[in-house]
Amino acid sequence: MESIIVFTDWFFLSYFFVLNSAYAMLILLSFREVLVEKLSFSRSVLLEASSDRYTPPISIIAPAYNEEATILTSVQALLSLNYPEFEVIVVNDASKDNTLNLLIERFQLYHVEPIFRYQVKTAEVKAIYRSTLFKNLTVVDKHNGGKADALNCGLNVAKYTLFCGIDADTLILPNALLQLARPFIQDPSRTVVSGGTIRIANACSISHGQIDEVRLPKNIWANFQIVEYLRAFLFGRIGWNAIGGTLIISGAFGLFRKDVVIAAGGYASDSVGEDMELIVRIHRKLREEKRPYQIRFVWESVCYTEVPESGQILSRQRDRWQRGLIDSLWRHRRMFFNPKYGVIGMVSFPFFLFFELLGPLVELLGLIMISVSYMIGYLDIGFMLLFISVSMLFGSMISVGTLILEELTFGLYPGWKSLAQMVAYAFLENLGYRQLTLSWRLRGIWGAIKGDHGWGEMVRKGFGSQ
Amino acid sequence: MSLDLSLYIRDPLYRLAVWIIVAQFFFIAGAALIAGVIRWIKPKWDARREQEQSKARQSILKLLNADLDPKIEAEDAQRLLEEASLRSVINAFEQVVTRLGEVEQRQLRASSIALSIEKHALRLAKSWWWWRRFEGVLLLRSVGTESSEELLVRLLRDPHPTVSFYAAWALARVSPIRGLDELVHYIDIKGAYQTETRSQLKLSFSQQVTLLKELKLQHLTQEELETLFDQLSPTLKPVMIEALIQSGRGQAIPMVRRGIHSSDMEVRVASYKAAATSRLSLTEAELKKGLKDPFWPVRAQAAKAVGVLRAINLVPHLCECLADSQWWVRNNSAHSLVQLGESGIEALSYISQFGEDRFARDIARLVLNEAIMSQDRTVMNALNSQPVRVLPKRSSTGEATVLKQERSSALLTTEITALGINQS
Repeated sequence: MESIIVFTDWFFLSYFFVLNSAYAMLILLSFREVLVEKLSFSRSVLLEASSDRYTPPISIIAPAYNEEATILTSVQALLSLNYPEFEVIVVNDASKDNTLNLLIERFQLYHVEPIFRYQVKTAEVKAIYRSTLFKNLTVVDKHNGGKADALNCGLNVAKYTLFCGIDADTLILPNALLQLARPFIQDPSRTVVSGGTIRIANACSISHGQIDEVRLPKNIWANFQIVEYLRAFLFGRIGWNAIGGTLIISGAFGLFRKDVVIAAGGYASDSVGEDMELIVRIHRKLREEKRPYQIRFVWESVCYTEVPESGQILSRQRDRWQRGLIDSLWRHRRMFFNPKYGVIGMVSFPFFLFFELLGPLVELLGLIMISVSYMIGYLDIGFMLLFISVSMLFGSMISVGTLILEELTFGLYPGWKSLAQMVAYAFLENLGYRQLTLSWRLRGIWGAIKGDHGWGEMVRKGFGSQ
Repeated sequence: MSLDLSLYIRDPLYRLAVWIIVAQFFFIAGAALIAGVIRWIKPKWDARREQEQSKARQSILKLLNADLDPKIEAEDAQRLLEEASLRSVINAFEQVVTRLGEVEQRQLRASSIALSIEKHALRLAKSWWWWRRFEGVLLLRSVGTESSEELLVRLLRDPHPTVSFYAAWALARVSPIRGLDELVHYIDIKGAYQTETRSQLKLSFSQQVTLLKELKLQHLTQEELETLFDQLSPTLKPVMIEALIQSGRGQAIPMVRRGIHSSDMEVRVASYKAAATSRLSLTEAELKKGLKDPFWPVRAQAAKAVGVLRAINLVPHLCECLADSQWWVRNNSAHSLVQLGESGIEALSYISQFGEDRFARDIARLVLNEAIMSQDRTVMNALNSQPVRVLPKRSSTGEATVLKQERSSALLTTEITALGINQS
């Protein structure tokens, strides 16, 4: 028994060491990326071309399901984007609320013939509408098929060679699309996907689809998520981007080459993590075809979204994210430690498998081992407390380090109070919130084992109500 | 109290853990402090930089306006350089220069501010550090005059490719004829990367676009232009056509014609696009060739060009394209038919009701509906004009046949009435 306990002790210590080394490496890479970008003297030279006529036209696809609280604000924001040529396609996925009627009324929609090719299979389209007010607005009304199906439907209707998949409750900043398109302008032959940063819109002051003032929400759940999102986007994705190992481009804001997505088979309708699954599939396909390509994360390109403000809805979201992760990794398991897939197969994939997917299980195992050790009298309580403190403080270090990145890059939340608040939440999230998310992720793992494909209902407050 | 933990904790592993925790606390406090300092300094820094740039922009723009006394101008320049950071002045200069015409650019380059910046740039360009030389050539790109030409020529052989590239760029501005030869080497000419050591610097597409637009192509002879055009990669050929259109349409037309006969689909697409956007006259045979191209993007662009160039005789060909397998070809053909005026609209209207092909009918109806929704007067008038003209249509064997004369615009009339649009 003693040898088992010693073995598990060393396993946990090694796991902890490798995980935190990887995090430290990612945050260093993020700092390097941000500083190089900020201090680059030739940036203005590159930007000369980005605002001219070589910007490729873009179809923005916004799937909407029961989005009556936010749809008008979001579409209004989309229509006022600063971009030379784009169309907005809202795909109403058989909403049960007033989403479609609101759109028809506000944008004076009229019915047109549904003429398009089913390049990707989707649920049947009921009707297509155009707006008399905005020539570049199209609304597609279809039978319910889920978010991925709605995105595929938008893909079929889209006119342009690039499309931007967003959530219907996403508010894109006016210049964000131009920044997101920058990799496509700089290297059109290799760039296949680019993704932007997501920020939290809860408590922000919004009018006419534009963010007037950014504020920290009063809701405790939203505040925890602000720290989480900062960490995920400012250190996680920038770091992965630096080594070309980006495995996730958020479904809420990503720009794709349509032909590549169609060739890959479109979004997987039977996946709950369709955004990650698509990126992994694109990596896999292009690597197998030995095509030179790049998937870029553009941190300067920002959009806002509403996050859950109740534990119940948040738990459903995290449960789904975990199931999505498992689904994506399982479908493409042959990429795992396969040198054929380069950085993706040898670094990103194992990292996501060992630390993101199995992380909750390892933590659970740790708790079980503590209990077992205590019961048989092997537990060194002093050392256990020290180890837990080191582990928690490391989490806080990463979060507070991310705050430096936030100040260097955006510095969106004004006032000293908000900074103090964010530092406090970086500490507090280790005392309860992290353990809760752990339990939700474990539930997600259990759901995946049972074969649960449900999305869970997401209730929106609406931008106007804040 | 001693910092030697061994006095309190005997186990070395415990001591290590405690030290790690202490270090973590220090790190967190330090990071929070740095974040605070950045928060405190950054807005002030940004505001100061913005203020400096705005002041610099105003001073630079002032140089363009009046017949300024050279003495006052020199004093202004000196004051500006003393008060604002050089980087702010340079940024402001770049912002202004890139938005000016050639005459104003020359005027600015001859100003005192520019001469002061140039002096500084020449010092930088001689630096031992490559990034200082890089900043120097970047500056000379904006403010360089004949006096910096020799140094720029020397910097073309700089061991750092970025420096040599920007030196070539600066030289192209200072001395277009001399610089052009150098700069062309950096454009993605097939095979150039293997043979030219100076071209090791791989430019992004956007940089190459900027570069091609920068080139004073009018200084090249027609023969040289054609050689350069043939050597360019397919993605850059359209850019060259566009650059030529900007510098003089006369030189562009032969390139467009060359492009139409190119074996590369992208070049053909770009050629028809350029013809459409710049209204370069193409013959009907050339347009017809595009409509029959095996690649749909070419057919789509050619269909668009037919409408823009008002090639009325090609109505029957456009009608055929309405049944194309690709939506873009059908869509562009239908829109071009609308652009062609009465004969095109009548053809479209007829096909919307009696067309044999379902896709042709659908697109015709869709485009006509759109035109009605946008209250296009030409469409309204054409749809309601009497009597109806006979529409020529090419049969599958190519012979013109006469279509049925019956035409009913009842459906469209009903729609117009329903929408409440005044038909008169």
